[in-house]
Amino acid sequence: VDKTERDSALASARQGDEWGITCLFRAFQPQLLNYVRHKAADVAEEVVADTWLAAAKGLATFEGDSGDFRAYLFSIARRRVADHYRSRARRPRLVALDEEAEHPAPDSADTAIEGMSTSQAIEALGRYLTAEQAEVVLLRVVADLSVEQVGKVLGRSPGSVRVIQHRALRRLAEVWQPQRVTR
Amino acid sequence: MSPVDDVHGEMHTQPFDSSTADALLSGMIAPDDAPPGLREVAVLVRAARTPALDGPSPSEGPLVAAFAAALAEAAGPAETTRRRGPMFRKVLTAAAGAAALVLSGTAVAAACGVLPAAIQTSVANVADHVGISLPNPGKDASKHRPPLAVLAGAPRLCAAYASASHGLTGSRDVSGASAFAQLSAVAAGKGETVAQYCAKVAPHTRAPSKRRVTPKATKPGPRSASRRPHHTRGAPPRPARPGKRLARHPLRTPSCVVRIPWLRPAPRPAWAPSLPCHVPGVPARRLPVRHPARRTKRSGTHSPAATPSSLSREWTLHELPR
Repeated sequence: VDKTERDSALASARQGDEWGITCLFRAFQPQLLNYVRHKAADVAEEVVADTWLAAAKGLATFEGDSGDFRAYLFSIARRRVADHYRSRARRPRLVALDEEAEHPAPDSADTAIEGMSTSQAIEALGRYLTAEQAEVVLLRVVADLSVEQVGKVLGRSPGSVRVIQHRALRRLAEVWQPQRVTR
Repeated sequence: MSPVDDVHGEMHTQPFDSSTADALLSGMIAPDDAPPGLREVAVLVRAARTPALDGPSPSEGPLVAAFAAALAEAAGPAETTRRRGPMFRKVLTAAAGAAALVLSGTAVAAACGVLPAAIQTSVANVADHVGISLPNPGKDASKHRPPLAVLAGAPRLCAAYASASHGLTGSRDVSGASAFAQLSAVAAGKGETVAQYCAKVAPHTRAPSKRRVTPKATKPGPRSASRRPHHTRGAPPRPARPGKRLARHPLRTPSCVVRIPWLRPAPRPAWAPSLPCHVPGVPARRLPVRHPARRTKRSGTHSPAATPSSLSREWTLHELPR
């Protein structure tokens, strides 16, 4: 599905056409689900469904092409995840002690990078990067957003996003080949 | 800022620049084409990149249907619903306050029937819907009844008229007084003269003897009739002087009582005088007086003292809440 087809699908979806809605769904649903699974794995399906419904309600006033709609969709998902954690913070839950224990990231990767699946790669990104770096890399890689779009979603400048993504790549290079990356 | 923390310096000291990082994260650099040291990172990024769906997924049908329904719902009522701003609520509150202020004063005035006829009729009609009986000039006028004040004071007016007709009022000409004019109108409405009318409504009224009234006799003394106490029983009422206006304002007369039938009637306290309500159609009645300290037989305790707030359900004008 190229950009031209996504743009025409977005125009059709505005009119309520089922083909356009289905095309948008197939283009963005896997990326949306992987992004939300990384942030809130236990409620990923519910958050994604709420994200689609919120996007449908705002589609009448939305202005832009399919690339802007992608950024719009992921910004909604990010807010929904934040709402989920905010509401869960109001309801204390019982957890096991080892579940809440911190697991520091190892200095070097102990798993082979070859043959990783999508979920394993996303999990590795979250394990070795800070939350801020993982957020930027996920939006850049999984959501396929540009630097400017990531800046809009996160409320940062494009230069700040570039610095964060550069540090994230350097960190990943250190983890897998620490002896070859020098400061 | 140290050279390590400097953004531009930090980015230039690395073996890859910003454009390489952009291309790497965008998936435009294959692992084999990646710079030295970034091949594994390129493999990881490529693995994390999620492809689009080629076919339908299990959740596609319900989500597409819900998306279409939400899209149709959002396009419908969004233009019709509009919230009113806080200024509307302020204006509404001010209008309600002003209406309550006007109505409270109007209610007191309407209870005594001192409003202009048109306003009194309107207020009485509105109050009649909620079961409150107020003087209604519209209804009273439809019955073509003479003024209530003339009928109530007819015997006194007749006595005064008799005195005036016998020349006992001095040199003043009282035949043109408004009270006598009303008396003449009432008598004329019945097809009688004033003397005939007065003979019916006040048969015991006689013309006083032609005893000359000296200024000394009218001078109030300690034993004169004007200083008699009110508890003197059997004494004839003092005749009202024709032409003398009442000094009391109608709103200050204690005879104006508002009765609201859907409130539970309570006994009148001992301190309150028994006053009839002058509202037409509502009979005045005397209610038993509850003594403040009456001992009950069963408990042997004193009942609570009667207080104006707990016992009074009929307010005189002086007691009406303001």
